[in-house]
Amino acid sequence: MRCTGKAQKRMRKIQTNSENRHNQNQNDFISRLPEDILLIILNKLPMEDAVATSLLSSKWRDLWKLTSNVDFNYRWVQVRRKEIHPSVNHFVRSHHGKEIKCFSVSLRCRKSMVPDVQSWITYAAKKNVEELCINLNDREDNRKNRTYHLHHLCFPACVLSFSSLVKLILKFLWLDMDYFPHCESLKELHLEKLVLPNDEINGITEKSPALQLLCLINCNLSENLHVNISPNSNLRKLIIEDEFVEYNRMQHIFLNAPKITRIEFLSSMPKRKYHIVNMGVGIEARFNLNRMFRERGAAKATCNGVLVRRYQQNLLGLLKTFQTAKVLEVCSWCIQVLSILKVRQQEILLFEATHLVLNTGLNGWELPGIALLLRACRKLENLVIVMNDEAEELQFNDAFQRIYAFKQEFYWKNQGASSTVCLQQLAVVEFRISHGDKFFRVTDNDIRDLETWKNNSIEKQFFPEDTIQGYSAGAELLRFLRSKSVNLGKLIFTTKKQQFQICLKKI
Amino acid sequence: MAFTKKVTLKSSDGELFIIDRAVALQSRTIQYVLEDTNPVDAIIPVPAVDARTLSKVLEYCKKHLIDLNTDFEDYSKWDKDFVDAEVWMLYDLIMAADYLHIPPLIDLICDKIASMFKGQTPDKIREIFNIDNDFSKEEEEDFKKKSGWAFK
Repeated sequence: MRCTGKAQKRMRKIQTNSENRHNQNQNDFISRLPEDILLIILNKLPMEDAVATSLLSSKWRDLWKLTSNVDFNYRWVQVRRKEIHPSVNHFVRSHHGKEIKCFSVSLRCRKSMVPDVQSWITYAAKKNVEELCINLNDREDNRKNRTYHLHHLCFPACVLSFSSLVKLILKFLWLDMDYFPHCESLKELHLEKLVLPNDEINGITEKSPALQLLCLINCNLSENLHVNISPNSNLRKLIIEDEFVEYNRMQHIFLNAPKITRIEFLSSMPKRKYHIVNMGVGIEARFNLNRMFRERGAAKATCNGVLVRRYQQNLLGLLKTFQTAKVLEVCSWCIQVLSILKVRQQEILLFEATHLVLNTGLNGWELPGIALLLRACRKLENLVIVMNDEAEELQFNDAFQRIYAFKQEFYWKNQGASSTVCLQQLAVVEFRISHGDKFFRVTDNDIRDLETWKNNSIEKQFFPEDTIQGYSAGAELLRFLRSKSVNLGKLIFTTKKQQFQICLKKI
Repeated sequence: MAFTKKVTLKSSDGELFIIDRAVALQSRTIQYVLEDTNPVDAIIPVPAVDARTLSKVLEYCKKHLIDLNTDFEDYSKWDKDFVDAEVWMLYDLIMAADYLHIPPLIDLICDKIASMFKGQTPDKIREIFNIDNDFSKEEEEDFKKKSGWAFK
């Protein structure tokens, strides 16, 4: 009896199921959406969720095979409890779609897997992938027995041209250049923890004429890095981001990039020496090296300068190289190194920059460095002060503090009287508070007062004591700038939520 | 060529919506109609969308046109509240946005639906969206064999 009951039930279920297939549940709105919209939704899901939709119903069973956003990372292992390498192999066999837009695989690679990785690249080229990311040593995967090892990866010989590729990200591998394909459309190239022993970058840039951005993160930790941009390349922007890891501090970097218009040094500058040739005139040079505070030798200073002299010399060398830059951006660490020069009266630099960006806490030992920069940038037209709440300070030893101490409150006042800063062309000053969403409590009256500078302490109104660190220095600096630049026409105050633009009237 | 500043839309159930031309232009479908025919004071029918949905879509279009001063955070908050709706409403909205061709709105709703999928078990997803499991036992078995690479 029981058996037949169950069988009947099952029969009924199958019947209703098949009815449903023709006559879908009226309340199942989602499955009634057109396929192209379902695919938009599917492409927004992480891989493990996208593949799991195949369990929902017959309508969903094969939908994931059309996905155009493929991203296998450690979450796949955590959620699906399957290894990435065999899963990707299965995936590439099952996928039905004509094209894939993004293809990204991060795994802990073993040597035996490298041929498969190559076959994925071939597959990606066939599917006209626009964004390809290969990470052969995914640090998210923190299971035991996972060792750090760089594997040689050579592009597959059968891929002569990868014309759909727009963005390429390679991480943790030893790149063999033998078969690097022609990438006519490649615009962005990010290389992280790569070993590029010879002139690979020259070869890559030669084969990617459309390349606009090259980002080198911790490349060549144990040998010199040569960045020779091919003469036929149109590369505009170069980013070099380095950390103090392994033998990085022993290596040299050789840079030859005549056509770039923007260069950024990020994180820190551990390399032994920076050799730069053929740098163009009028470019944008940005130094955001606050990670230097994490390195003992760069965070401590004596009367002779930064503890490890090389860091200071490298910075000054770079600044000298970019003396002709049109836009100059410096961070708190750079400013404080310049402060040492200023207090020791070793001002040797002059800059052509018309646009200066200072990332600063406007505090203590940064002030002399700022004064130095204002003096050195004689053609300055536009000054941006990005006020940073968590600015760190160099640790100066007692002797230094004793000899060069100054009173912060009076710094700009004293400078105003003594310094030879002359900012004839300075037209716009912007104070930017990038952190938090603090509001200026400024009334229309205050703005009118500032326009004509009637009220003597009006600028303090714009730097309320309780909300902005370095507020008094900000107000003092503003007063100083106003006294030194006859053509100052515009002040801008920006927070995340607000912006004031104040057109100044001639006094 | 004289451009009318106002445009009148007529929903499937006959309700009329008089809106600024600039608001209507966010819909590419309407943009094409206006470019092709340039109707002066004419009524543009929107036969695929009912009044309730259309008013909601127009609310979105107005918000995303006028408040250029509103910063990014305020927008994301407004958007979040906007898509905080029942599944059937999301369905109507997305179909309307598809018909009217308003890509950012489609994207916004798809984001919302995707967020409802994320990290959920198939049973839970079926429950949220009223999806019937229409697999027979044989199909289930067969599928298990084939998809061992992805599921335990």
